[in-house]
Amino acid sequence: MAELVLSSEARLEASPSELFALFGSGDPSLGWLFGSEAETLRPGALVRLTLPFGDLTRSPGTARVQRCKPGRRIDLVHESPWAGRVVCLLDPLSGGGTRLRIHVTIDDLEFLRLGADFGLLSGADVDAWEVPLGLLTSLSGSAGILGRSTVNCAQLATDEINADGGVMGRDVRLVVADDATDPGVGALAMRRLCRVSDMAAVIGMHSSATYAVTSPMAIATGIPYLYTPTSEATAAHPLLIHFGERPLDQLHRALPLMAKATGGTRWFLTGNDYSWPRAIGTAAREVIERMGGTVTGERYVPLGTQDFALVISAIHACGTDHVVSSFVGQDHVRFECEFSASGLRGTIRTFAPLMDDAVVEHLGPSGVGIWNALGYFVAMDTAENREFLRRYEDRFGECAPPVSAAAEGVYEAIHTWASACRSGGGTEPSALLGGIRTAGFRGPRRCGRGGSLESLLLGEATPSGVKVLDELPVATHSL
Amino acid sequence: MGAHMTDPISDATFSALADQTRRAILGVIGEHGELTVGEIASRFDAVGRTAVSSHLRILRLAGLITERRDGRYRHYSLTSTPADTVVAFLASVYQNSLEQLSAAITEAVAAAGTTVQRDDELSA
Repeated sequence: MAELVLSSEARLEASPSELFALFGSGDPSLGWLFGSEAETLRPGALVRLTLPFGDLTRSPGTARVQRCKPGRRIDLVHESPWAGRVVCLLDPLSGGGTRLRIHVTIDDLEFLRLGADFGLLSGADVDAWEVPLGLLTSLSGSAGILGRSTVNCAQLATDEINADGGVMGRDVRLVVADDATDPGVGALAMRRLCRVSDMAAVIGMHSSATYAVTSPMAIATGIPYLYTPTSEATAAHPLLIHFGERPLDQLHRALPLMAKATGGTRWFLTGNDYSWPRAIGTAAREVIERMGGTVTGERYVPLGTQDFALVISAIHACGTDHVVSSFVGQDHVRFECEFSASGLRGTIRTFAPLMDDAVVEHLGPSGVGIWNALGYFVAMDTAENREFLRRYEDRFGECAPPVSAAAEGVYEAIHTWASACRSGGGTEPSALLGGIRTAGFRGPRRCGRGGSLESLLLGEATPSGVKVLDELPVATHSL
Repeated sequence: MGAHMTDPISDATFSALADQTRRAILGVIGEHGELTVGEIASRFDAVGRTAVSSHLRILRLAGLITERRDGRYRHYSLTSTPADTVVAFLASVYQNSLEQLSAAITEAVAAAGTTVQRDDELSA
């Protein structure tokens, strides 16, 4: 595989050990690289970055420590907004300074993906004997920090399908595009995916704000759109196929269980300001009113909010027992960390419909005690899940980002797509739509035919991941 | 001791490419080979003709596009291959990060009271 290698260097007025200590410090200008922030530098540790990428605002990014030699060398794996390997070498200079060299390696597929997402390249060439399968997800912007495991899980499913002979004898070729957690960028990315010759289907793992602009494009171009995240959106056309958890399914059993655990009756509803968090708010009101509770306040803030002090003081001022927190990506991480730092975590319980293992890794101790109900958590104790996690680790190594419910949903959707194509007898939309009702895939989730969820897991964030508390059947009324 | 000097082309390239609309303009020019301001503006509903002109000026000063005059029309085309532009952008993202670190360290050292011979050109 061809690779791009970029080398940068600087001579700095600090000793190698001083510079090494500044790495991961979180200082916006001294915490190199890109204001890096890391709890530890042990192999596999998450490094949070702020990249000068995106328009006007800086994009959050993530990397992971592969290995390091104190004072001499740090090896990182870049995860978002793009994938690459980064080697940082610190050499002492006579006179006390340091020569810092950074070598970045980006493989050709990721380079083509990035060039296409920048709007500069036309994207990967797909060979005629391959079946192109699109993946539209977030690798930059607020939700980008959780994106790499989604791409990994899509790649894993594709590799498994190809190792098994492909679909109808043809290898599946994954084409990835980034919506930058922005509907406008998402529309450009979707347009590019839809223009790929013979695009078999697009897997969507992104916000419903992007979905609102991209789903009509799928219908207009006749390309099946398999939408996997938890969502309020309705599949209003045969080409739109939904796999994710519905707001009422997530809330209608879990919120009463939380109220029972706390003995409280008061709820505050908050989240980012777009259709999905507001749909969670509507569903939460319905459930809370049905169980005789009260909504003490409701507040939504724009995606990309940096400071949640106003929301947190509103929660504090109105007096509440619980918070339903529907934030996305970096906003979710920032809100929960500020909420915890304010001391409210000890007295107010939180239900967060996007909390999964990847989010919990970002939250660390700040997230302990948050609940959610999803189709998948890493701690799910089944033979299928153990096998899935083993395959993920074999493929991506111990330093890979943890699997999230969002990412695992994409893995299952791609396998279900392949199964539907096989039962429908082809990869064209009509064959897929013919086969989807009877398609089956035995993955970690408890799914029926066509990938419909039969039960959710109730999970609680702990310092070491999400603990499974209970299994909740999915009600038929909201399917 | 001074920092590794910034390549001025790289800085301008970086600022030019950090903007999504400018990248989209480059993409459109690359797709068609050569376009006039009007042809470019007609492809962007949300961006006015004046804004497109100012984006084109920034791209031209960054060396990413060239202008050819033909009567009252100005035609724009890419100066380098789009792949080279992506490489230049990525390289400048990392190089700029080191330049900023260098400036921050110089500032911290100066603030700590150490005598530092400061290169004036470094202050950017």
